[in-house]
Amino acid sequence: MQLKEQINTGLTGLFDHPFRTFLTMLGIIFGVGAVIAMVSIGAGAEREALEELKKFGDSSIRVSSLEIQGERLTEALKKQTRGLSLGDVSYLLSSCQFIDIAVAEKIDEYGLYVLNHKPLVKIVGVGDGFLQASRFEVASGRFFSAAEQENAALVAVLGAGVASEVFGDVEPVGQTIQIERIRFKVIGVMQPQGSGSGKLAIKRRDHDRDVYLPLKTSLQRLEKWPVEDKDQYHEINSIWIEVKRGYDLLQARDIVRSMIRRRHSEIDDFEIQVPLEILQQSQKTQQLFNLVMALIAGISLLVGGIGIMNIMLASVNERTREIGVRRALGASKRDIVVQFLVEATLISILGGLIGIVAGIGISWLIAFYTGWTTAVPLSAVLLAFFVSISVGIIFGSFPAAKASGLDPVKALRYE
Amino acid sequence: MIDTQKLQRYFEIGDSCVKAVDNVDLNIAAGEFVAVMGPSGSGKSTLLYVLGAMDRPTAGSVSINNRRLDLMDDQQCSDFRNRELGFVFQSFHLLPRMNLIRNTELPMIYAQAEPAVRRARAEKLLKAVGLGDRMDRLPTELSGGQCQRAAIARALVNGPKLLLADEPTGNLDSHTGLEIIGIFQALNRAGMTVVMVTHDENMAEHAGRIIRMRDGRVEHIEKVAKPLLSKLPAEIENSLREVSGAA
Ligand SMILES: Nc1ncnc2c1ncn2[C@@H]1O[C@H](COP(=O)(O)OP(=O)(O)OP(=O)(O)O)[C@@H](O)[C@H]1O
Ligand SMILES: [Mg+2]
Repeated sequence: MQLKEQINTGLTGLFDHPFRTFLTMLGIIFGVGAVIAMVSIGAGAEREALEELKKFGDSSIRVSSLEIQGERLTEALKKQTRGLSLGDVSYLLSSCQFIDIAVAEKIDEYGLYVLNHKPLVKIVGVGDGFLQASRFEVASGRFFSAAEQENAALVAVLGAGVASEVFGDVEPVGQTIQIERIRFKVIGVMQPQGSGSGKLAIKRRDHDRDVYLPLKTSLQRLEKWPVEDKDQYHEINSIWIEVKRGYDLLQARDIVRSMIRRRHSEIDDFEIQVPLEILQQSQKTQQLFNLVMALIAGISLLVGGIGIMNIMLASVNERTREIGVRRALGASKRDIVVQFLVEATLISILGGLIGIVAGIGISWLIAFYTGWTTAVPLSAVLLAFFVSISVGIIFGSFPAAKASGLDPVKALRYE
Repeated sequence: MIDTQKLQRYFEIGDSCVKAVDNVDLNIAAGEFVAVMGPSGSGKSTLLYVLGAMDRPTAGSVSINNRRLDLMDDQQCSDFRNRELGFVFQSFHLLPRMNLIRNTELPMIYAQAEPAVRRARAEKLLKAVGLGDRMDRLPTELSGGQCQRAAIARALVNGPKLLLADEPTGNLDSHTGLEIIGIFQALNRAGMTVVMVTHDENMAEHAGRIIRMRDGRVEHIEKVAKPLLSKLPAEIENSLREVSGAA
């Protein structure tokens, strides 16, 4: 008997009892559906993490100053260390050949006045190379030139959020803003960075509320940086470091850490983040999640398979006479095996397909209601499909063997 | 056509042994119509199943058209049942969820016939047994006589030369039963070898020979001097002759 006929026969068999068939499929539907939904969450998180990494770069190191208290503060005062400073930046630049860029960042909480607005902003002084190190982009206008950095020019670049809040539809470039009674000319607006942190635990403030000034401008004009600060002890908030291609990022991080610690008299008043490392850690977590998921999937498919086997065994019993009749009319053992295997496999394939659709639907719902990124990888769909087929074949083979092993005469006489 | 030697079919149940068929030597020529009679439990059905390659003898030999059934494997037996003979049962054994066409087609599916060919042949046979207007009905919607005629159509669909019937009139009233016997006679006249188990002496009198069994043994074989005739309308007789050949 040809497979096509067997499939026809199987389908007819299934549609003889549509409700029972559906109930039998439920195990597979739930199993596959849950797996697809969970995989979509995992894959979405992975994609989000990768996008996040693209934002931060896979060659970035961030050094941030930490506030210290208690004993450590006492120790720091005793040893006369002053936290992260401009000196650290120039020291790193001059002594580490693996560093491509190192940019200082100084954050202040001065008030900003413009057109009667007093928006909540952070005044951020950044050194040369900031655009490159941060991977931020300018939406309109331009960023500071080297000359403006050098001359401590009174120019500012606005974060996207500040620009739209303050200026609305008016083009901000060319306008004037006022910080601490000093007037600054707006020369550029940044691309929106998006607020909040993603799935990665990379610390990140809302850069859309930043107002950038050249570092020297911020230090000299706003902070009244003493000109005699030859040792560059002036405290800064963080250093954006880009490591040259070909150097090991984590090794670089360790060197940077030990250098700064030495300069800070072994006091941990700073922390170092490597986005790539955080991503790798999150991937490890992801792998654990995947393992648990595979286990759940395995269990539910096992349960689904047992359900199929159960129903198929009942079906063999119920159709003993039919088996006898088919045998009398010329069906071989092999024909009977194939008939029941096809039926079991059709149940599991159909269940798998419905499960895949349901899983994709669930992943959409999750994305819709939670705002998480979800993604259904084709590989997961294909895997689910082939696992469904195998479940049918594996759990259908025992009932099929039982059916074909029936003595034809006894089957025919079975009441 | 049928030749058995010292044919045995014993059933071992625990310590006891039921000799359902015991040392049967039979010789049935092609084109014969033979009735098998005997009390209940005398082994008639068992003999028929062994002759029909459904059951295997525990000893002895059975050959049909010079082919040794007792030496065949499962696949060969299945092919043999499928192509070389047709079964008709007391309780029809039509598959309840299939209409008559699909029931009739079933042996052809196992013979790998093409769907169009199958359908045409099944329709032809159903028409020949007088069910041309009921082809898409389910067996449950039909009378016993109609079901048995459909079962005969199914048995004939692959064009066998041998028909094995186990009490084919047992579930039918005598009038309807005689119609079935009439079909057998018509087929027999067209060259079909028919072996029919029956309890009904009157039905048996329509055959050419009667084999009487008791306790698994052939007790007596008698030739029917003047077989009774169950007449069918001429057109059914003709169409049966036409379809009883090879598929
Ligand atoms: N599978 C089996 N296992 C054990 N004994 C069996 C089996 N099949 C048949 N028998 C026994 O073999 C004997 C012959 O049975 P069989 O069915 O051939 O009789 P029969 O002549 O067809 O009877 P009836 O007229 O009632 O149909 C009986 O005693 C029966 O109990
Ligand atoms: Mg019997």
